Amino acid sequence: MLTFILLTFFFIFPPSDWFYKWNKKFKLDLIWTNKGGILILLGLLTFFLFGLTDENFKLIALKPDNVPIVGLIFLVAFFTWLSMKQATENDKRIDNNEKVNEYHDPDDKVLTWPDLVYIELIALVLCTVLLVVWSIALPAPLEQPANPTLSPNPSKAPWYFLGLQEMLVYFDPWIAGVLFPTLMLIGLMAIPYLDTNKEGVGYYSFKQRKMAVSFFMFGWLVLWVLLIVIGTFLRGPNWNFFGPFEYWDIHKLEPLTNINLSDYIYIIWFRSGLPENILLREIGGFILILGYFLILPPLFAKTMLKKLYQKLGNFRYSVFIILILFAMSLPIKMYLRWLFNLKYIIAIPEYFFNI
Amino acid sequence: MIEKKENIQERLYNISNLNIWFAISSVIFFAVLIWSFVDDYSRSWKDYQRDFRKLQIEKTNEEFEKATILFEGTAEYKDIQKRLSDFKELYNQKSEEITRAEEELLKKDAILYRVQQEFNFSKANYDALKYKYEEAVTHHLSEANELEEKLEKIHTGMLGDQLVLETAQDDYDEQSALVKQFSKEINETKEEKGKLTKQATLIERKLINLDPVHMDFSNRIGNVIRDLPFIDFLSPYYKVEQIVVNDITDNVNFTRVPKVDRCMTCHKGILDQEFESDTQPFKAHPRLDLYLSSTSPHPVEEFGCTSCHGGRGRGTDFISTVHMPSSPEQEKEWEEKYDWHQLHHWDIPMLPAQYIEASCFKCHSSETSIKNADKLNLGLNLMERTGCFGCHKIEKYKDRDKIGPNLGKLASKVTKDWAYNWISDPKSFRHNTWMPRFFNQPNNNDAESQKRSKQEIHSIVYYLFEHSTDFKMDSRPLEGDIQKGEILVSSLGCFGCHRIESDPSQGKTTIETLRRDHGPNLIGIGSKTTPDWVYTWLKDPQKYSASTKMPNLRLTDGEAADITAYLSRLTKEDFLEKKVSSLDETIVDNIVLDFLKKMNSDKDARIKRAKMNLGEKLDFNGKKLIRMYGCFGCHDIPGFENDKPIGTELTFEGSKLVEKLDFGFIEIPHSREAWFTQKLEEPRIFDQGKVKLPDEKLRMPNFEFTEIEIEAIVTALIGFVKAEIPEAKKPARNDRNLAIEEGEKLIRIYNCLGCHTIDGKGGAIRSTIATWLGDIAGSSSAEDAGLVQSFSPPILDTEGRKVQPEWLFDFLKHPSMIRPNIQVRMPSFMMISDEDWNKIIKYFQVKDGQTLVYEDSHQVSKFTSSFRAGERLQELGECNKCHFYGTTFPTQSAETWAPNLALVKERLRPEWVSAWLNDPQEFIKGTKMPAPSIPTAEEVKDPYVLEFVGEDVAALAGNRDVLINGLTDYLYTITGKTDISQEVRDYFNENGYNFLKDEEFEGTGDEWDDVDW
Repeated sequence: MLTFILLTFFFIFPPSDWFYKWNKKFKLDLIWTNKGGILILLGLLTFFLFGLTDENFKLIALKPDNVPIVGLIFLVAFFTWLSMKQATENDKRIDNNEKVNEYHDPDDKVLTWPDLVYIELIALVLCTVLLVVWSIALPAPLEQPANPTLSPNPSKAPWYFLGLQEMLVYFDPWIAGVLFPTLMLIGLMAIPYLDTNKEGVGYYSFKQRKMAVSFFMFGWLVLWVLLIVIGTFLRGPNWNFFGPFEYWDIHKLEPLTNINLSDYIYIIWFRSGLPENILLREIGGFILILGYFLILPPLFAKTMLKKLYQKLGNFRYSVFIILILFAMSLPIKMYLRWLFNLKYIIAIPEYFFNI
Repeated sequence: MIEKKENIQERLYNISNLNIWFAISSVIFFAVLIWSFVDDYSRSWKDYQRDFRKLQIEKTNEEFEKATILFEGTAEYKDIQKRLSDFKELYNQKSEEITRAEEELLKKDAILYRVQQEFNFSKANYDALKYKYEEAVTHHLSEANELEEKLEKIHTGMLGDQLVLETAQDDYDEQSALVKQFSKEINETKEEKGKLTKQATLIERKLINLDPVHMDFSNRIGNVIRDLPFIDFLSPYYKVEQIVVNDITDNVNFTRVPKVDRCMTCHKGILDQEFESDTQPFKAHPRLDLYLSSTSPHPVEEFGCTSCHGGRGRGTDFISTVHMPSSPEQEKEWEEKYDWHQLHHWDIPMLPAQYIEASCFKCHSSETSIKNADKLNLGLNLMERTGCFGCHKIEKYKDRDKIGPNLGKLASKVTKDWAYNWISDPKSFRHNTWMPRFFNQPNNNDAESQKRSKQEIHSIVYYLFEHSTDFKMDSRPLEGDIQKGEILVSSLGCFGCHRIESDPSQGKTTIETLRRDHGPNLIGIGSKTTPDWVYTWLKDPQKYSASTKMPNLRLTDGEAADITAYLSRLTKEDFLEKKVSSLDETIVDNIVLDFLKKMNSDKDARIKRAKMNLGEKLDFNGKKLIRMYGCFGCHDIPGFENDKPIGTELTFEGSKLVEKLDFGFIEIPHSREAWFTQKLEEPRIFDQGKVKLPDEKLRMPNFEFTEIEIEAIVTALIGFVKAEIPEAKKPARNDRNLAIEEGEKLIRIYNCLGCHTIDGKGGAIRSTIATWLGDIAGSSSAEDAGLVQSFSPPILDTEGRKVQPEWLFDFLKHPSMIRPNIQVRMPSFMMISDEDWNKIIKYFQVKDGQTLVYEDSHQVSKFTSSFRAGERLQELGECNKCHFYGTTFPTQSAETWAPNLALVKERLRPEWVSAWLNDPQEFIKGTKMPAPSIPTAEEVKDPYVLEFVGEDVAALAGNRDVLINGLTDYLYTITGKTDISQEVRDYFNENGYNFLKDEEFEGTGDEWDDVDW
């Protein structure tokens, strides 16, 4: 499933012209029309309602704790569709040399009351109605006094941390818990300084902001929301993977022996023992990591991201590419894990340094 | 500027549309708010309380009618009514006079008031002046004289006023009495009426508070308003009832919170006896005298509800309080009626009704037999008898002896084949053995496992026989008579602990039946062991096994030989004919290898194995297997003296979380009770469907318990909880209670109640005594309860008060004959230590409230008139008809023989003897001892009686106590041989038991004629 999503993702949100060609060819921008939207909605609804007929699905999906995440799926889908629809509409208008939808005459103003506040008032009332109905229909669950000898299985983080908890499967806790969240925050803070695109400001547009939108969508939808959904619905006891219709059996055992890169190199390929010297042992890992971060950026600068490099300049480009490489390292590591049972690329447990 | 007519277009949105949206959303909002209040207000417990109110009203109305019927229509009531109306008429006739008198009264009252005031004023003045005067006298004498005069005057004035006041008061009182006079009769009659209708009036008052129909208008309004939403915080009728028990707490990890039980919110009738026949939830609690009422030992304010019943006390509806159904049928019923499902997030669900006694254990854990908890007692008794603590550590039983026989000398008792067949299937030899089945169980009855099991048994048998020490048996001096042996077995008292019962269809297991399962069922003994072994055992059980519970019956060689002959005839041929499978060295080798590979590599294990010969391999296997199966948990086995039990500790099993129990692939309800029940039914069933190596398999053997037994054991097991109940709430750990606990424990361990009766419990042997009597003296003898009792082991109800403790100690260590006619023999319990005997003696004493002080021997003066009177009474009572006086036989025949009176001075306590003589039936119901006739003062007025009883007695007639004490004193002077067992035995050897045949002959005594006693 993830492979499918990864492969098709950049065709739906094409960051460059090459992808864009294929996007046009498959007429993928029809997703962003009204018909497309209704199709998406119906698709999600059908899946959901069909799923409710299954006992196991019902148990998980209707658990009071998980109901907001179900809502999250629908809301994220809706707002993504809405914004992309407006973006593609604007793009069409720009192509036809019309003004974008958001454009209005500088002298054209509306009054705060009633045009802003009345709408807000009605929205407020309706939101309150929703909350009151929700609180009556789904009372907060109250469990028994905590028992130190019995931890709940599975123990899940709150939904906003489920992405990080998922990352913990693939990365060392330092990386997944400290480094990556810090980088995420730094990355978000750095966006205004990295994004020098003067176009597409103040209105929805896709064509004028291809790179920014697609990369952000990737980070948002795939690396964040999707992991939350997986963490809520598809991770069961002992953090095993369970399909949406699978019974959460706490005794399920999956063979999950994973080995480090150094093990691969020395024990499997060279068939000798692991070297005593730590640096020698982890040399493969060091080469890979350093290569990934030191060789790839200039490589991209010279080839695929030439235009970007020229636009951003040295410093911005470096920061940008490092952040992108970190972000891509998550799916790369996931595949390395699934395909090769790879545990750590660099494993120095003596100094608690594992990547 | 914006033009008005373009108004609509200047807005971004259409205002009328927005207005509609706003209106709709506001209405929805309002509705939703109402919904949330309604949802909050409508609670299911309110419905129950409403129903309860209706029920109460119905009941109170019925009561009221019943009470009213009692007086309404009776002549008395009618008479009172008539009198009342007459008096009222009289009163009305005099109304003018009455009004005048009342007016007069008012006037006098006014006068009184005024005069009172005047007096007050003058007194105040007087007091003030008096002070001034006194002060003047002390400080400025000059003014004193003046003031003195004034004081005099005012004093006189005050006295005058006081007089006036008193007169006015008298006047008033007079007038008031006059007025009252008019209505005196009416009031008196009303009082009478009130007495008659008191009951009904009280009920009516209750009804007025209860039933809106009976309320007056304003109360009816109040009745409605007090329960309206919002206002119902003030003083609602329908409210949550809770009990907060501060000192019984729940542990929530960082603190302890007191138990809060809201059960009475719905169970409103629980404390009231009058609801005992209503349906739940209003039904009253059973046995309110024992539970919940303030005079009971478990008042509800001290214990709450959940400390016994479990459940979630803070819940207020049927599901959130975690009610648990007691059967699958009830579960279905609840699912339909109440949409019931088990609330999963609560660790202590309510105990299903059939297990409720489990909660008694947490406070009464040190008692052997808990009052009113029969199922729990049965469960605990079963645990003790089956020896659960042999494999599973249970704190309460940590010092108990192992329940199985000592296997240290097995080779001298049984053959290898017998041992093999026994281990393979114990119940095929003895249908009610306590030894469980280890082999041929669901997890080891496939072909390969069976083959392996056979070799395992061979190994175990080999080990036991290899390490069995030598045992020199006594050889029987003679063959022994089988018939004599049978009679001995049925009369000596063997059946207090043993049975000989080959019929497997037994009745229900109860605590009483367990007493006769204390020792093994003796069927098949002839096929199990040799006569010499039986003979040696009977003569001295401790020679074979020092830790045996079997006491020494002090058998003569002849008796032992006879019993041996009889028991050796009890055979089980089909067991002996069972084929023992042959030794298969290959499988033995496999077993050895499996065990060796646990600590060695495969290569090393094979090397080690190669060094062993067959005997060594079998021995090695045997040792490993005995350790694996934990045989030493029940048996003493050489080489395993210090090994610890192999099973899970059960001390707190009732607190175990359900998540920690392994349900495997078995589909049973996910609760503790279901798991324990299933485990006891088929211990190895949880291996079903699992892939396991031989040494990973479950090892608990199958005891083949019945349903009743399982329910009892599960009740006990779920009572083993980790509850923190404050010591003050538990039965006091004072000297008395501790002594009783210790005593009861020993009495259970040595099965005293198999023979004796204490406080109505025990005496399991009685039915066999009746059978024996029936066999030798006709069936009517068997039905004569008094006769059976006189041949049964004695009732020990007042033993503490009755016997001298030093005598009792000697007796227990060296039993001798007390009751000459009894055939049942008190055995010598050589294995009981002096300390334990003292505990038993102390138990009896403490039970009777005896203080443990040294008692001097009873001093008697022979020169008092009471002594002489006592001597005369003894003559008149003809005590020697039944009682032995030393070696002097009683004059009547043996069925009435009573204890040797020469024993009195060293055995009995004088206080008890006097009380006994006063009324023997009080101490031993059904005893044959009559109360000695003590003449009263009236009776001796008759000259014939006077002559008959003699001077001494007559002089003291009327002083019953003194006369009885005199008789007691006399008894203490009786001398003679105390141990007359030889004389009695000689008598019976000569004369036999014909006296019994003569009594109620039914023609079945033929066997006796042939027997030469």
